[in-house]
Amino acid sequence: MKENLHITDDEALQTIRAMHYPDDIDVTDAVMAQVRKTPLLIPQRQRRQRFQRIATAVAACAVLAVAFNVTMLYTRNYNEAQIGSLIASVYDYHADYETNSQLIESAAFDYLYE
Amino acid sequence: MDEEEVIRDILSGNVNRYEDIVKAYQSNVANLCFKMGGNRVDIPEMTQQVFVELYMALPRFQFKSKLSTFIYRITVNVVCKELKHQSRMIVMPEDAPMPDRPSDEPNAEQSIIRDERIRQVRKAIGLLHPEQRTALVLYTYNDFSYNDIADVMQCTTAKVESLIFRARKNLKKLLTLKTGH
Repeated sequence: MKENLHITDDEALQTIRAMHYPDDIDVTDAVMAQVRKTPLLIPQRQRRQRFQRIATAVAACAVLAVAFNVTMLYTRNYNEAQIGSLIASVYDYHADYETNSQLIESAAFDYLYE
Repeated sequence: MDEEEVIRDILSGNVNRYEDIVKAYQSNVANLCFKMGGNRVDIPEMTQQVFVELYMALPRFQFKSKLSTFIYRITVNVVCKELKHQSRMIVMPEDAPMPDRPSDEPNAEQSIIRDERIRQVRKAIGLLHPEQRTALVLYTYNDFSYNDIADVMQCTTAKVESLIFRARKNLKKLLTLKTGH
């Protein structure tokens, strides 16, 4: 049968044209059940949602920026205080060194010439 | 049915009106799925998928084209996606039972020939490139112009013409190979 069947492209088009899904179809209930559970995204609502998302993102960025600045400020103050304390201790050390040198010098002088 | 009124009604919250659209188009959608190469057992699921996707896309419908065009566009996308997903070019295995359609032919021999022709044609269109297959199947719809096909496929009319030309050429080749002529 298959070997003898010669189908031209016109006949093929006719066949496609005449082709029909052979079973009865009724998907109404299944579709409606699914559709009732699905919220319809109206463009205005979508725009509002998008705007809300952007506003939330901007607010989050602002909060992060403020938090970062405050942290930096505290860190800078802390660092400055640390540096100040370091410089003060260097000065103290230097002053002690001077005093100690003078003491050593006078002690040496006393020892040599007394 | 005033489609525009129904759609506006649905968009304003009356979801039950969607039933009208489903009832009006479900057999057309099932037929297109079948012609495009959808497996007989998968057609109800595909049809359902089309209408769920249509519902979600409804707010984007701008009433510039016909609703049928919009529905067919979604149908074509669903079928192509599904066939690609299943990696199934065609449809009907050689030994699958043929559709139990009421026969117009006077005798059994003609009925067998018709069934065999349908099987061979379905097999051949299943081997076409998806774009060529889509254009060719839509071309067989009498009320579909080249512009409508281009609208469904979202391409130019010139491309549709070229796709149909190549599809017919390839179909002829495939059917010749199949029948050994």
